Amino acid sequence: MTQVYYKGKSYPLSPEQTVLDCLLDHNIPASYSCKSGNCQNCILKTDQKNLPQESIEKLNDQQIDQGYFLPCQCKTTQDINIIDGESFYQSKVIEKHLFNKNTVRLLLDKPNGFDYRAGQFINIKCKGKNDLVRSYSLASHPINDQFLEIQVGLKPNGHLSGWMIEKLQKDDVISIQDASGLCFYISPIEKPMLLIATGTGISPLYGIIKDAISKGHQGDIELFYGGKNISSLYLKPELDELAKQCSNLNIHYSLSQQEINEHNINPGRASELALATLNNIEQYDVYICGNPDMVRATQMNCFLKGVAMDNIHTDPFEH
Amino acid sequence: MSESLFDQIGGQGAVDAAVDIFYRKVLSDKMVKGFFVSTDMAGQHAKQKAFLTMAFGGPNNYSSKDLRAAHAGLVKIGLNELHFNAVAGHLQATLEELGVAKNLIGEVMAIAGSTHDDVLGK
Repeated sequence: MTQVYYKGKSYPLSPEQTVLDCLLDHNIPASYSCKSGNCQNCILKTDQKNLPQESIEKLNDQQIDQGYFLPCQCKTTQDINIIDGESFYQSKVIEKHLFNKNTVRLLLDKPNGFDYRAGQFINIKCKGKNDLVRSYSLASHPINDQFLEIQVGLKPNGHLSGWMIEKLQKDDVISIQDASGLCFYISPIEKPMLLIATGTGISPLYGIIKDAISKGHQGDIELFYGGKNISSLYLKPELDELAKQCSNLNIHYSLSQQEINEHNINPGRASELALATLNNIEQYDVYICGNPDMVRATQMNCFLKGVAMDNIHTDPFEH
Repeated sequence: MSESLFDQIGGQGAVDAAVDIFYRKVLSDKMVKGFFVSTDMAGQHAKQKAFLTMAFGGPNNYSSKDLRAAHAGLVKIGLNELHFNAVAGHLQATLEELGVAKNLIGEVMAIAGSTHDDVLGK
């Protein structure tokens, strides 16, 4: 008898029964609504590789890559393990480095078996801060880096960010969850990429650019990185270094509150510069990270200018 | 005579081809865009896919009750006949832009039209 595994228990699945109905029959409070594969309310994650076409055909490439499927459309005779993502790993702080007084780079121990895509984020729970949980994007590369890297910007009234910048030390231990998020590199190798970031939104895009380069991406990689003044662009030195080694990476910096006369530093906002600079934007895969208002407005503008919705990948920093 | 409307129009592929075009039209229309703008654009996009699937005669379990409930909040803030007709117009324009056969367009518009009372809570 086929089994559905969920939170450590197994439930028998009949050949004509959907995975969703199986869970519901056993009184598991699975979310759902339309039961016709349209609303995506029931979406779950699995590591099973042979999912029926109907259960994944309406999902985008990132979702399919991450093992998401629609259980209301899933009938199968192969065991299915539903992944929860709620368990925490312990991770030690390997290194702490302040970019400036508002931004810190933290390198964390990568737990055994921890896998992710460059650009995803992890939930971090800090014992020292009453078990507060916050999400931080990964700037590291899953294969080329032996550690996990996050870049944390100080938020006004931010509970965790202030604590990480001032109190957290090397060798302290924090709890982290499995990586999640759909903003990661999945572009066809020839396709031009447009990346737009403000503030620490640059951190996942940094991971994504490194990932694209390591996979031999051929298309143009156009990065628009904006901040208030030159010290907000804390990753500029490393990005400039990357651009030297990589001829298809073009970086455009924007400063909204400072004027600097250097060839690739422009006045104004990164998102506006991007839309003004590229006149065939519908050809691009677009990645947008940072301030939620900027991300949503830019997503809308790119979509209206012809970029397919499925080609716009966003990570709005809602915290 | 066995092919369904959904098969004839091109199934899931047709929905995928139509959704961005249709969604752009409603977002660019001052009269109706307020009903479609959301902080969750991707979620709204999925709703448009669901709507088109239904209009194309595709698999869906939306009952009259579901449609009423889904639009009740919008009716409360003023959704009316003019908006319904505007959105129907964008649907038709999308199908024409995609070169869909006239008779199939007619069938899709009939399905869309049949939701009138439920959508407007009449």
